[in-house]
Amino acid sequence: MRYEQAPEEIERLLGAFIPIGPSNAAEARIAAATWRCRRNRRVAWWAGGIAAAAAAGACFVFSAWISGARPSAPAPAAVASPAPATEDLGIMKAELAAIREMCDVIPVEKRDMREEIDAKLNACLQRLESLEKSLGSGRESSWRPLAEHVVVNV
Amino acid sequence: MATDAELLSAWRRGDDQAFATLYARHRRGVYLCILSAVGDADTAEDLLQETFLKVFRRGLGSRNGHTSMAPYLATVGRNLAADWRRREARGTRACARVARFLEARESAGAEGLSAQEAGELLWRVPEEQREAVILRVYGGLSFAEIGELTDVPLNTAASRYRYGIEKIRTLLAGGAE
Repeated sequence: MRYEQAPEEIERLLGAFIPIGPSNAAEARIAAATWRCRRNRRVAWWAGGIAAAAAAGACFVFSAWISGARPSAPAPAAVASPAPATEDLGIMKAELAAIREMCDVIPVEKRDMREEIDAKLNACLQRLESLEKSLGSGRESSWRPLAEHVVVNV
Repeated sequence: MATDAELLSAWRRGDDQAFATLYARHRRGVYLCILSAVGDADTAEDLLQETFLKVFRRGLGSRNGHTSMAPYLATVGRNLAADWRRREARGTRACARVARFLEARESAGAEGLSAQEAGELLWRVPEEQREAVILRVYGGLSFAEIGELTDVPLNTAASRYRYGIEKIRTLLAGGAE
């Protein structure tokens, strides 16, 4: 078979055919594929958000656990309560020392002065007892009020 | 009328009507570019689908300002076709598939030429010339449109077409390649 046609005849010859497809289903397939693509993106976005929230929550819980597990945290409160008692005991010792000094200089015949000393020592006793109760020691005080016959060194 | 970039944005946001418009606008030209590269209708259809999906996923990128995305789609389609051919890498198989490249019109006289012979004839034309011939004859595109789609100047597109037709004429006359 030999052809000696002009270009227009070649075009007409080729025009006797048509290319196959694409089928109408191609458009529907692309639309369906892009719908799946969008859905997967949305799922991935939500999954990422949930994972990030979970990670943040885990970090928060972990940091709370770390700070709660520190043994030194409650310790200051535990040692803080005896601090005032020690301070009170120191004051009380100072007061007792002052009374002792007063006792040293007061003559025996000055009854008023002795009563004042006794009252001060009694106040100190009550304070000491309350402190001992708060500390929970339950110890009995060894202090006894001054008796009439106490000999004061002058 | 909405530009291709606007339609693509709307499509990516979930507007299926925007996709339908975009598809109707570019389907023919892109499909013929791919078809002339692979020579098989089924494969060309698969690659056409892949081309649109790729553009859907990636967007237009730096080409966002361009009025038409046809050249971009055609380039993506040609690259996918080149990948496919590399994977196949068997010329005999590609030639065998040419049988599904064309089909005869019912009313037209093919002067004793079958669809398979016409397909094989076209397949023996160099690729760039074949693409120009297919786009012109079967796509009804002007040389300016062919030039835009294949990213070459108008004169180059016209020359490729003329050389392609001449080649077919020579082959029909039984001349040497």
